[in-house]
Amino acid sequence: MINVLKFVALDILKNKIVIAYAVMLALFSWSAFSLEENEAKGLLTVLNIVLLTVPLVSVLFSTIYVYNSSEFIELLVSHPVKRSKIWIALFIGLSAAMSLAYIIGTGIPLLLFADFATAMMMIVSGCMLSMIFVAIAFLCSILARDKAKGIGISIMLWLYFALLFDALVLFLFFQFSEYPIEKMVVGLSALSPIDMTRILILLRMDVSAMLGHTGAIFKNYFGTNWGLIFSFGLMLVWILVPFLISLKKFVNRDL
Amino acid sequence: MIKVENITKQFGKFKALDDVSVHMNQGECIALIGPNGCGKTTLIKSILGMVLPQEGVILFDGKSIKNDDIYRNQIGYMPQIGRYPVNMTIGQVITMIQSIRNQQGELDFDLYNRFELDKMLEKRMGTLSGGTTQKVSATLAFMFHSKVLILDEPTAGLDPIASEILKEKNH
Repeated sequence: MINVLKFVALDILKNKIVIAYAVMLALFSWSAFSLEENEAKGLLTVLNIVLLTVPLVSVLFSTIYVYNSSEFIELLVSHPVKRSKIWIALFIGLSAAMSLAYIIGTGIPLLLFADFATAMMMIVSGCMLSMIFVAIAFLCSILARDKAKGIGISIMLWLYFALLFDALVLFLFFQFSEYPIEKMVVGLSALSPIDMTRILILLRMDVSAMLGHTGAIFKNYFGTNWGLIFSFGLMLVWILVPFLISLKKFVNRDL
Repeated sequence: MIKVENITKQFGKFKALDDVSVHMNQGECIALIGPNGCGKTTLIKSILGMVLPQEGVILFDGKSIKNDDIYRNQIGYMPQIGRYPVNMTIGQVITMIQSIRNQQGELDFDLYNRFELDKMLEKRMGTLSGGTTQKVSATLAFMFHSKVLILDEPTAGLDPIASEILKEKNH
């Protein structure tokens, strides 16, 4: 597998989009931190940018990349290489590239401007967010044989997780504001990796008071060490489930 | 050596292979002949594990090929239409396959030399003509002294000289 991974990694490194992505993240992060005099404000700006762009670029780039690798896959399957190894190598290559671009682009300014623990937290959760959306991209590209359709599905999913899901939760919140639904909202947030990341970072920054009563509930659940482990576990599930479904489908697919 | 037993493959409503059985032994030279779309390529792809039949088994040296990949070490395959990563050069593709096969001993560079591939190692696969792509496919199929050679319409798209070289190589 390392053999296959080597060729995948070489190919991704040559790709200019990954470099452009890292440069874009760096530009946003450096300017956010140097424009805001308050470190916490800068961090919030970076958080909002990261939560929008990281999922979008990860899911779109990976979907297109997997479709464009169809020749590479076809070439390898007629040789003694296990199909699962090809798929896993592609996944590791793309996840590593996306995470590396994020670490170089956003991680370095984070480490310089924010306090160490918060920066590390944001780096780890950002990398996991990248991997989650790479995994979702793999699922999209296996669901549709047609490239345009697959890209369409991946954009729709991004739209859902980044915007629609929040709107839905907000809608529920207002509809049932008379009832004690805070605990339910905690459960709901597990259904969207982007929201989970946002909550984790906000709690870390001690601005959960801004979230009102729900913030206090969140703090009770996610603020503890167990909550932290639980939420990272959930993010791991978000990486593994879409990827394993796509792997199973890929192994049983006609090429 | 290769035993195909009662395989059936259906693409949607279209039945490409219907209860096909073939036995192939070592040293034999077998030609699959039939009209377009009768399932020749589907049968070949089933043997290579690229297409997974709904029913039946394929045995290679007595072992089922299902969930196996090692047996492909003994197969040299030349596809009808070779599809290669467009951004890789001829040289990179050949190096990659060599490193994946990781074969001990001497490799067969006969076709490589006769097709003069060394003069265009820097060319990208995406810019090649159909015939040149076929030359690369043929070179890769013969390079590893495989016990089994599967050639899917090998001379289609090749110029007369290249096609003669390939026919000669087949003897």
